[in-house]
Amino acid sequence: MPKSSRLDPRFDWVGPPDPVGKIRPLKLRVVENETEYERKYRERREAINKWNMAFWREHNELFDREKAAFVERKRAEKGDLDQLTADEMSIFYKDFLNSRRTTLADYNWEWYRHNFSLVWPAVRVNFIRFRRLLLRR
Amino acid sequence: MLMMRNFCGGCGRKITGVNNMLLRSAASMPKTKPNYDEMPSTSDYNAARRKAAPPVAVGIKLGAPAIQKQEKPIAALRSDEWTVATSSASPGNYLQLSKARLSALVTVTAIGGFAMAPGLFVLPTFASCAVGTALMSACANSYNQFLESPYDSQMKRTQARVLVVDKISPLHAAIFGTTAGLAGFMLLWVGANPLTATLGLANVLLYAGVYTPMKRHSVACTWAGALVGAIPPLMGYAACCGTLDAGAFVLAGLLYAWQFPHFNGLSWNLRADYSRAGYRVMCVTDQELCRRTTLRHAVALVGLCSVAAPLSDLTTWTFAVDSLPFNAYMVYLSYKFYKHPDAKTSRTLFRYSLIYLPAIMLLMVVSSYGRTPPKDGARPVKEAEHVEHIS
Repeated sequence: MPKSSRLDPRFDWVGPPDPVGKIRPLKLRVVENETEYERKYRERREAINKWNMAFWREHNELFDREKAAFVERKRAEKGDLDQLTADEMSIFYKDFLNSRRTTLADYNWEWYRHNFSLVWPAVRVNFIRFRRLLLRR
Repeated sequence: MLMMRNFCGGCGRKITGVNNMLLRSAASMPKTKPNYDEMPSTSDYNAARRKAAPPVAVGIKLGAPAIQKQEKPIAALRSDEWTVATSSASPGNYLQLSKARLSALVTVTAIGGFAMAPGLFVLPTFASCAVGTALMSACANSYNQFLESPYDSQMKRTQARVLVVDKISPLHAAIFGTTAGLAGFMLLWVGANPLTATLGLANVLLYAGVYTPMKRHSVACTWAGALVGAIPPLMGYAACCGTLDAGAFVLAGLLYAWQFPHFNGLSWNLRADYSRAGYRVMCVTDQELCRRTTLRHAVALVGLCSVAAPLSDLTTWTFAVDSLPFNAYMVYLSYKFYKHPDAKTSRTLFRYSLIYLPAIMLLMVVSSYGRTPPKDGARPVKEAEHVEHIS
């Protein structure tokens, strides 16, 4: 997206995936007579998306850092510059997964809580929008 | 070939102040599109390009006149632009949401169960079973994608899914799943019988409520997933017969055991992705267990096909013999994977598991002709109902 342009706020926009975090940013549409409820819902949904982006960015950065450190260590031990085999890398994968076990478990439950907590507000917002559409007609 | 260019191939601006020939020519190299190897096929891409894209605004303020529509590929395939997210109720979106290919495979196994059951073939019941199973599978898969969107975005295999690229809103996915599930449940209840419908519901709960969260917490998720795969044949069997007997459980056991060589073969090459995305699977956390279970369950397949199936009257004894070559090859490939697990052995095992299942099911159906008919006291419910209607 060129820096000089602005995304039209009449539409919902989804952006390219974050190169590190891989989650796509979200920018939801703002209507002229947006009610308080709609605004709260929009902001919370965008905030949850940002939280997701931040978590995975941090997690993936950690993965890349630890992987690089592991590869360096192994190469120093082995003394050659060839690529490490899948079996050697699998030791790192196991250790990384185990080291992040509790963090990922906590994130998982929190994500489920956030995700489910958006469902009913989304239903209500859709009703508000539908009513607005009917009244306009 | 290095080409001298004065304009940047990426942004189109003139390259000034860069005397380095190498840099100028490197800037003219085409940008590589990331992560295309696991993207939707070229036919999907071409179909997407032919569709009129949603409007892309450039510097337009509120209240401005209507935006012109431009021909552009849709969000799933563009990795460098913002696009409008329309939660459209298109069949394409719904097919992706329901994981149509997987649902089709699940329905085929349910149909296999129906075919193997010792009951009459009644077309309305068969159709209800097939469509109902497909709908409940669509429901389970929609819920799964609803829960898993941040994880799907991390893995190459799943990063083009509808909820990841926001082609559909999460609420829309939840509503679609619920509608499909309710429709499937009612169809199974009315068109087949309550047992089939209950099994379908249990399967949805198991897949979306147990297997999906468990993937984050324990390797036991693979066993839960194997159970999920084993239930559709039970549904088909119950739809035809009305009850579940030993033969039904042998069939379910076959699908349960098959899951292990299938999944372990698939996941072995994805260890990096699984580790980063936080999936607790055997191939990452406990490779010894992964290898052992693969071999164990491949051997169990031999026992199920050659001993349990004929004994439980699921098939005739011919199946015991003609399934041996397939099972022997499965055991052989599993043994090779057990002894030397690597990219090649795992991929061969996975690919073979894909052709093993349809082949074995076909053999089973063929070998089911000539079974001893059920005794009078143990008449399947469907047959008894049919007789009553006639009299």
